[in-house]
Amino acid sequence: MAPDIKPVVLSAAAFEKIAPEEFYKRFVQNNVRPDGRSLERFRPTSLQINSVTTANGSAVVRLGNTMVVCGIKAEVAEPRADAPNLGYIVPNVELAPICSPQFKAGPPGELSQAIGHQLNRILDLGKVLKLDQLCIEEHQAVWCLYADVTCLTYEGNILDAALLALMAALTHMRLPQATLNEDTGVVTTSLTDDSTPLVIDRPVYAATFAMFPDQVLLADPTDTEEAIAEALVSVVLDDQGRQCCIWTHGTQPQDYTRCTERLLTLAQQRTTTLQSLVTANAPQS
Amino acid sequence: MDRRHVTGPERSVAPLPAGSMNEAVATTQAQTAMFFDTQRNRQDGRTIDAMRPIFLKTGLINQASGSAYFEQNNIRVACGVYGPRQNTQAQFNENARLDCGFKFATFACDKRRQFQRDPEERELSQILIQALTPAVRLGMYPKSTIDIYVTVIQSDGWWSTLAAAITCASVALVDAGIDVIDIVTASAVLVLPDGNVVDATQQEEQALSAQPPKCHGSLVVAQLPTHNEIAHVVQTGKMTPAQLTKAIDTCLGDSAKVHSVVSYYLREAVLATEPSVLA
Amino acid sequence: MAATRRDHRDAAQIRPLEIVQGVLHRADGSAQFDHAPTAVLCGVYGPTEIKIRDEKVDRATLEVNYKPAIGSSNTKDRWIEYSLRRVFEGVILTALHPSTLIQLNLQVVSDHGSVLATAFNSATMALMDAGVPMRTVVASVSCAIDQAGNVLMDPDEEEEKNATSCHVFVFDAEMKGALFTDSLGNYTPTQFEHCYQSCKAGAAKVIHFMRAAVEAKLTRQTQQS
Repeated sequence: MAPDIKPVVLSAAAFEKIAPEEFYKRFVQNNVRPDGRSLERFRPTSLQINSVTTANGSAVVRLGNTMVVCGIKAEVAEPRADAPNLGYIVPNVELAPICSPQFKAGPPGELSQAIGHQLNRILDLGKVLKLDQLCIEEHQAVWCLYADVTCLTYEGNILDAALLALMAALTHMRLPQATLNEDTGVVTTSLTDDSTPLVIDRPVYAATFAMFPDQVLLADPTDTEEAIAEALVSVVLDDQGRQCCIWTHGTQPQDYTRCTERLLTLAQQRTTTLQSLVTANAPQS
Repeated sequence: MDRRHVTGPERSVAPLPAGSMNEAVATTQAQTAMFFDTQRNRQDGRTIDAMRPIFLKTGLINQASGSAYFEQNNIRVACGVYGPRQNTQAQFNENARLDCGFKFATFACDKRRQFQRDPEERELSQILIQALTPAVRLGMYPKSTIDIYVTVIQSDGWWSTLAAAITCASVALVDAGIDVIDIVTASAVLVLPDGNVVDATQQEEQALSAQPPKCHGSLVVAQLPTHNEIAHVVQTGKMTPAQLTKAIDTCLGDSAKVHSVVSYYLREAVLATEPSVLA
Repeated sequence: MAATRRDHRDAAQIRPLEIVQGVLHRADGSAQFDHAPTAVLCGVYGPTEIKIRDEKVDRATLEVNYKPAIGSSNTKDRWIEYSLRRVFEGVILTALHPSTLIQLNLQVVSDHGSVLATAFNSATMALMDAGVPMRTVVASVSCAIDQAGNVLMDPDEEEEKNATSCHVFVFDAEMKGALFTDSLGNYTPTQFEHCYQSCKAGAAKVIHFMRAAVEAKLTRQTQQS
């Protein structure tokens, strides 16, 4: 008689740690994810606008357990010689060790620099807003908007969260009325409240998906899902549904001709949701 | 030049509010006069011995061993505790090492801050370590480090923010399940010749610094409330021993109030998750 | 109706390619890839010893260092490194060399547009030269859509600057699909589809060219020995 072999029973947490791909495969087969979401569902998203009063504009975004704060500080700088009436927008993403053990203290890591640059090129090449509205006095003084996104808790999909926070803060920020004193060269802001909002030509929002085997799409991936996905697809659309950016990178080749349509439909729905979230959350003034 | 961030112009400055310097001084002086009138309520309606209301929440950062979020009107502080985890330094240490990374978000103060940790933030990190060490049973975790990361999302009053950070970090340590002998709670006062102003805002601190140099100073006291012991005192400015004693008493009274809020919250939090524990 | 471009190419034409493998003597493998006049030099070191801090016990760690042609590196270069690392982590059979480091060092020799695509191609050739085991070979081509809606393959720096959108794609040798895409600007789904297909065709040509270059090199080696 064969000896009595007891089956090894693994706890779910141990199973996930040891064989994350297999763990996820079991879930995906049943059209559900470990956190209870269906495959194409985004995490609950909430937005709090202009709660940080030391900033000219701010937004706190919660995307499930990913939480970021974007604060915009307006400072005055000299314009570039080749663009005398254009201001600056400087987006940066800070992934400090507070938000996840995967980030080390010290200078920003590769991911935070890459996402910061991605935000910068979306703003710049995506033509989100015109920089001439940041002009104070041609050739002499323009606004420089430092848009810093600080991550407080990190659970994947930082691009979606950061871009939403950035767009919300830009949409609802106000610039004080500024005048340049020709004699002293000093820029002063008026004390009365005659600040103006920015004109956003093209509000853009990101929707990120993780590609799993057989072109299964997981919307809004968590960090675990990002790590085991075959590829990550970030689709950035504007409020009219026009494409602004598609950024995909991964370890397995993906035939995007087969899934572009589905991706765009889902991204389109997501953009509409986020756009109404941003407009509905107008700050109490 | 910083190449690790998206860079803007080489130099930029915060714009000045309009009006000549004289006007600005006059406004501040008017504010100061109002501020030092101890009979009146403060700008936000508080009396001089009233703290701002506290909002507290634990478990905000799910990736951390423990975390806490502390809010007092415009003061917002988040803290994440990681550990005890392996001490990567080669030397054996029979006690755990407490490390603290204190950071203001770049937009947390009136003036924009840099991403790199500046000397002020390093100093505040040290103060936090000194204030928390007496409470943590470091001997329980040999060869390990406990990392405390504090991010100030918004500050309103340098001293009050420091007090908030100490309390917040202590709550995060408790949330992480680190062995402590007590919760450390802290509170801040501004010391004036004719009384103590509790939990001052940024505006009030500025008004004080514009005041001609009389007897005034600032004080933060961190205490172990159930042990009735002082964990740390940070004091600046000029004050008489009698004033200092009185100010410490005020602080101790206030941080006892903070303690009652904290312990109430923690009790409720435990009851919410595991009702049987305190039954 | 070929749109005449600054360098007299027609819209679908890729600039002359050139590959030189083994240009660096101290590296384990190296290559310079030209989409003339754009050129990127890549040196591969590894599999080699790794710092304990970066060690992965089940596979090799890939490190990418990218240096621009002029000026010191900035966040743009970190973004390129991130993109390259993501792709080559999947392409290199990292599980065959656990607890080691594979280092890709790229230096842009001259930057006249489509530098990211050239960097991908250069890295592929250098990895092949180093004999690092790979699952497939990848090739990259970029294109730009100009104000008139023409799709310009392998754009130069002027064309990139004046484009309404720029697209970079990386395909594998079996043409199963894209490993990396980056499309930025304002464009329609049809345009995206068109760019995807054009770049796929372009990548096939690049793969063909890579094969010819490796064949030529091997023939030379057998003749010499």
